[in-house]
Amino acid sequence: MAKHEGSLDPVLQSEKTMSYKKFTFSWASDLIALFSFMTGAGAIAAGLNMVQALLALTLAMSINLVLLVLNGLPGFRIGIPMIIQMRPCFGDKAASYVSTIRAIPAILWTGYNSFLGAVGLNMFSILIAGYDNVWLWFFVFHFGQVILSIMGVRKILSFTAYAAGALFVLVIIMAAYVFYGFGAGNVLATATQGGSWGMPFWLTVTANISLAITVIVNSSDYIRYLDNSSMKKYVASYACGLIPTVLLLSGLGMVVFAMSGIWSPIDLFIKSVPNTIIVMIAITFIVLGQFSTNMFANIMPANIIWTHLFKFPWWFSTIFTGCIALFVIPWFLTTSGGFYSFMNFYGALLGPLAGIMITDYLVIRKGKFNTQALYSIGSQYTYKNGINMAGILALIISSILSMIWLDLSTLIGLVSSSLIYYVLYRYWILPKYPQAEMAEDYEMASTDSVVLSE
Amino acid sequence: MKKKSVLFFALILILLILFPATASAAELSIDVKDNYSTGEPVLFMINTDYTVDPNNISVVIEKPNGTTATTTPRQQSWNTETECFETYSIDLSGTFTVTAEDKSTGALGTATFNAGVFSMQSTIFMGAAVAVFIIGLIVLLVSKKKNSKV
Repeated sequence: MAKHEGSLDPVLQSEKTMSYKKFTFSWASDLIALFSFMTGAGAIAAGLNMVQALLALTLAMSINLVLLVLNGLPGFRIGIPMIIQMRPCFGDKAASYVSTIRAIPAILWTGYNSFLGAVGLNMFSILIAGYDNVWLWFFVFHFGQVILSIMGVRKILSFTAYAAGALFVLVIIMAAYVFYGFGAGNVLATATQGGSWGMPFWLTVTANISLAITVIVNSSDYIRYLDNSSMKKYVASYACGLIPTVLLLSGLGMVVFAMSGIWSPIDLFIKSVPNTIIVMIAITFIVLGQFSTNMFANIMPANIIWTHLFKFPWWFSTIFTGCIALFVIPWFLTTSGGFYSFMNFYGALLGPLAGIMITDYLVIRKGKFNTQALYSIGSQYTYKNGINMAGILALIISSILSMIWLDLSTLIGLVSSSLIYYVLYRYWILPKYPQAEMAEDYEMASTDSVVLSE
Repeated sequence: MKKKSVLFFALILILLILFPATASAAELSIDVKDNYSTGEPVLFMINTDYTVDPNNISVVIEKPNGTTATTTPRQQSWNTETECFETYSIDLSGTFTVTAEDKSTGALGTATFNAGVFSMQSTIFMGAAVAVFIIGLIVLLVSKKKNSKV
């Protein structure tokens, strides 16, 4: 079976060699970035006190963990990527087009993270050489990532896993500085002042699910290289990478914002740290963090989609992603509430997507796929003309519902799409198109035995 | 003649009194680029000809929509004794006016800069991205053509 970067072929059992430890680090490295600080600061800005903010984030991360684990199960068990996982939900032809919804936030975040990284690099060059040119650093940073990403998925995962070690050291230095600088006593004294358990609490929970919904949707893309010998280790590697990392970084963001009113770590360190070396350590962290996050969570998933949809080779998909990421005008996105509106907007599309995928695999098919049919043309997953209308209608209806209540879009999308899809599929599609894996005695075959027809 | 001499010396005396006062007036200037892209962070360098205490300085940023933001600059180890700085992220398009005043010396400095969604530099950057894309596309097409011949 020929393998190439971005291939939709299943990862064979013999190829699932990524260790749990490496995946945990790789995953943690994805989360060590400016957005994790910003979620903490954002929770305080929304009107929560530090204790409430920490609880809201813990709740959101626990929900994210469950969703990541559930939606990543097909990738973990049989090594299939997101696009193949979507075929039963939307039909084998429609799945390719529906998958482009995942590419929208990937492109947006690629440009946005690059610009924030460039701002960090620019500060670095001002401090060292008095040279101020954010555009030059934007170019260097952005195309540096593109060049590294051309080397492929496994290289990206390795780079981010190794980066995590350096990032954790830098985070601990920053945390120590923040608590020393503001005084642990002062921080604890303000932890329970003010706050609200009402709407701001739930908006914070939803915002943090919206933030993670992108990686939840293509969880299988990340997990499919992982050794699948232990379910417990699978859950643990997601949990260990996700929860401590986000809580530590968001906690830092909360403390900094509550004590100084500054949301950006770049601003914080440049303005309040008299020691240039510590400022540089902080900026190094920011730059490295943006770099690894972009490669893991944004460039890689978008590339897989282009590789499949347009039949681009991996290297050209990477250039394509890199170039169009600039045309979302990422510097302008940093300015306004428009960015948060956009996050809610894509949550209104991705929330339903995740709801449909999880319901289809776990509730309707009880965790089984007809593995041969996933890779066959004209199979049970072709439905009528390659489209599963239950998936498409559930996506459209629940996206419209989510957009009506945009602030809670992801949660509404997740729940409504699950219900609508279940009813439509169970009572409309299933009687017309029987599914082999739903027979009680069906044994799911390993993807190692799949004969690829495309 | 005598009256004229008295007036002349009086004038000289006035000039002598005024001149040192003028020469020793504290000076403050704001160093900022002329054009930025909206969303780009701006670094204001506030330079003086005396040892400055940034806590005495008030920076007022007048935005294109007429609203203002007031901040106090900082001084770090990478600044000299006669300079301090402030950062600001541009959140609107149009002309911004920045005024810095040192309350202890009365020194005042003003600067303006323009912000637009696209600046010369961002346009060059996007042009470079298009060039990279076109080169990539040409390489792709050439390699596909070669492969099809094989």
